[in-house]
Amino acid sequence: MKQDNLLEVKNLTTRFKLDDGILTAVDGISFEVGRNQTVGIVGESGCGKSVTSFSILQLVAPPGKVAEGEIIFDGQDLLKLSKKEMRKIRGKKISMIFQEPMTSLNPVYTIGNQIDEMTKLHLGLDKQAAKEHTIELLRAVKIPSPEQRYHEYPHQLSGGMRQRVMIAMALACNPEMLICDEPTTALDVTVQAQILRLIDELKQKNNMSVMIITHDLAVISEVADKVIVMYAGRIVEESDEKDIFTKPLHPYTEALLKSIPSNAQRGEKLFMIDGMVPNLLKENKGCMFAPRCQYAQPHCFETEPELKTVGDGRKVRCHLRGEGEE
Amino acid sequence: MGIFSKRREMQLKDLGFTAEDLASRTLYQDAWRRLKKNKLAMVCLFVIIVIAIVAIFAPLVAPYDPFETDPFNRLQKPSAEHWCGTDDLGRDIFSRIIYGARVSLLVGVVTEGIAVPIGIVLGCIAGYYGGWADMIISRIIEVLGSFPFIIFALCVMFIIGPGILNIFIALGCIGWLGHARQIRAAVIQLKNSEFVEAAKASGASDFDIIFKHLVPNCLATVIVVATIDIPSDIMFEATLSFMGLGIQPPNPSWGSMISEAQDYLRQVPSYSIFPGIAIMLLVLAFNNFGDGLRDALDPKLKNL
Amino acid sequence: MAKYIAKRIGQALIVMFLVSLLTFIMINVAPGDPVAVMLEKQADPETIQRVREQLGLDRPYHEQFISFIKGAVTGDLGNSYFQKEPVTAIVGRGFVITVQLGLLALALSVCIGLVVGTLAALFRGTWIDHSLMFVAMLGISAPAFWIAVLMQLYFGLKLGWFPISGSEQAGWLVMPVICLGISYGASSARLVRTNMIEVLSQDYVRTARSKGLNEFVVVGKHVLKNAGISIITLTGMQLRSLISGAMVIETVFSLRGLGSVSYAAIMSRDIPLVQGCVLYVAIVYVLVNLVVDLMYGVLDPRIRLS
Repeated sequence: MKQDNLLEVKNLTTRFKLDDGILTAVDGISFEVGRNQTVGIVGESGCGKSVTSFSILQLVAPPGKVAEGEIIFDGQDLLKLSKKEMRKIRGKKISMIFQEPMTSLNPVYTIGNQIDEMTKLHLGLDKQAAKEHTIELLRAVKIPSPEQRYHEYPHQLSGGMRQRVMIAMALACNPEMLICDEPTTALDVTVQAQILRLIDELKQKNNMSVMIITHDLAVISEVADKVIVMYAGRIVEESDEKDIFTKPLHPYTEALLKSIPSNAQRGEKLFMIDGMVPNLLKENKGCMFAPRCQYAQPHCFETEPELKTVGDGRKVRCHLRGEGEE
Repeated sequence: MGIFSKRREMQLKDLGFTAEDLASRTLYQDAWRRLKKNKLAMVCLFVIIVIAIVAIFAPLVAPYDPFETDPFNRLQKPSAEHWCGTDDLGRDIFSRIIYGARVSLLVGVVTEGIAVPIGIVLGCIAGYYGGWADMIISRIIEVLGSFPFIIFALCVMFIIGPGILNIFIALGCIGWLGHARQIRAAVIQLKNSEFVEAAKASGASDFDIIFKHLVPNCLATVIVVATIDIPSDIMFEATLSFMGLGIQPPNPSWGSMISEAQDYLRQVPSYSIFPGIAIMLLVLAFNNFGDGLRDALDPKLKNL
Repeated sequence: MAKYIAKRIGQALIVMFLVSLLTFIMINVAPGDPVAVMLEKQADPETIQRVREQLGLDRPYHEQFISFIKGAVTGDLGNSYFQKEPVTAIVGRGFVITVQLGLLALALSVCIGLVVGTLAALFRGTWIDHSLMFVAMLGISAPAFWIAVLMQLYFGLKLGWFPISGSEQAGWLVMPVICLGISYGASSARLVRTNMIEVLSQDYVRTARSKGLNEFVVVGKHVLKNAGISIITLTGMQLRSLISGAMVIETVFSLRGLGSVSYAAIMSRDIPLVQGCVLYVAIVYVLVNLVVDLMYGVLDPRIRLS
């Protein structure tokens, strides 16, 4: 497994040059995504998880910029590619599904037009072939009467249907990797499960690697093989096993788990993490989570802990966890 | 509980948060802070202030009497004595430009002084009461708005005659439309918000709700719209005076000076150039300052 | 869609009726008797009375107004008081000049606006953006009639390329069109830039990029059509003030367009002529609004299909 990584992110740092200073949204993170693996990245809004995914495809909009690091995909460093070479990766090798199916599709073009555009570009299909391919894709993502939907505009579809269209579009060129940025957040609960199952199913069928970014641990628990927890632009916990859900190592992960409504005991007050995410524009000292941490010790406010390997391959960034601890 | 929150606050301070970060600043302090960072806007504010001071103290600043004719020095080119030359009656153009600044600034201020109150009252009535009141006011706005301004101004100036006071009336009659439209939209949006509901529930009268709750919340919009309208008011006055409907001779106005200069284009081109530069400078300063103010106060209004 | 068009036409007719009513009221409220102006104050009261009867000015106001509306519907706006010619003929001649000037200036303004605004939006925050927007701001801040005077000075008098007044010599339209086009092009450049920047930040633009499309397709296909919707609305609004602007520029270049005709008509209290001018301008407005609304429908499927 270890040797066969499709994607290796090393020391990725992405910064935004704002009027009020420089904001380091992603601060030196490293992780791997294996072939056919599903990796979940979890964290609150603003923790840098979406920026991480945009950085991989180099879609970070100015004033944001990938400042340093390596993104090795299939043996190639994506950050060293020219714009033209990068365009051949986007959509063809790595595809992306976005959070808002309502706004992620262009309102003035038909669904067919927007999917065809991609297969014409990357697979060189002609008009007729592209149309057939698109209708096939729409069928694969279980959109009813795809021939008719092909000619419809995004506003004529429901949110769930639009997200299916997004998935169909992402899979149009059989990518090796699919990045899903909060794929279910904007959808109804009942639709959420369907979409997740669909992504999982298509992953098995197409032999893809999947990276799911979400703030909702429940989403991850169903599908992920590996979970990465991010806080304030850093990875605070990484675990290959599903036991992150039963035995979280980082106090932040623990707090996140406690705040899932279904995990709360009947009659118990729902857990809330006090305080707010640190201001990343400022120079911050010590552990980023310390001000909100219920176990914080004086030295937590002084030095920032390293991300260290604990037990059987799990990683955690916390002073309270010693190396080799079970 | 108190102890814990105190502890947390201290920790936050340790992390480099200042009290300033934690206390929410008011909208206007925040806007002023942002505006101060905008160098172009601040330079323009400075230019406006300088022009205003010059206009107020025109008799002290102007080298000549703007009305004093000199038959021996007609249509002079710019020189050390007459920086911008002289006009067809031998009057010093530079001094007339300085006095003309009074007209332009006055037009901007007085027109908005008329337009803003009318716009606020009618906009609030239309937005707050809706129904018939809204129907009538919106139709008035639409009809007046679809009237070519120049024909409207021609009619108004013709009915009440040319002159500076009548320019104010003509511009005020049209100027409130934009304010009313913006405020109506803002009030409709605010009308159903919690704080208005709360005020209603505690028995506040409509008058109180409008003037204590709704108007203060639209104030940022009003300030921005008024600042952005001032340059177009100045431009309208210049245009009307250029067409001979505004300021009447011998009073100096930048627009009428350009119009008078048209007859002497061949002899002294500078006669028509300098008053135009004056208009452009003042309007440019107001436009840039208005843009900066809008960005600082109410970025939603970017299409104005 | 048919219902939508019908509704817009209905609204337009109401606006036109109200505009006519307002003009009628204003003209009649104004002090001074047109007949007295016409006869230059030398006439005796009997003659004045006779002329008033001839012109139908002795009838009650509402009757005068109704007969005007009747005439307007049948295309007969009566004769001018002073120029013994049908109003439609005089206004028609001016209308041709103003519409030519207005449409050409609009075309120029849209071209300038699209090119400059798009460039500035794509190079947002760079020196290209800053310098283009500075020039645009200069264009907005300089009065159009002053730009016209400067052009007369340089291209007319100094270089002698174009005539500076009248519409008889060849090339008479060039300078009026350019100075109006520059003036309005500057403000449309700013509008285009703002709208392009807004569209560029939309999620679907990111989606388009994530598909691996090149920037030319992203901007040309995905951005421009969406930005076009708001740009067309704003251009429609601009066209209204462009009509006023054209009327001012006409006076600078001594063109006998609607501006000069209505200016003279109002000054001489030529009631049928004033009403004719206002009616024609109102028709232009209404047509502009209608075209804008229809374009909107063509570009935006959300409107077309609802």
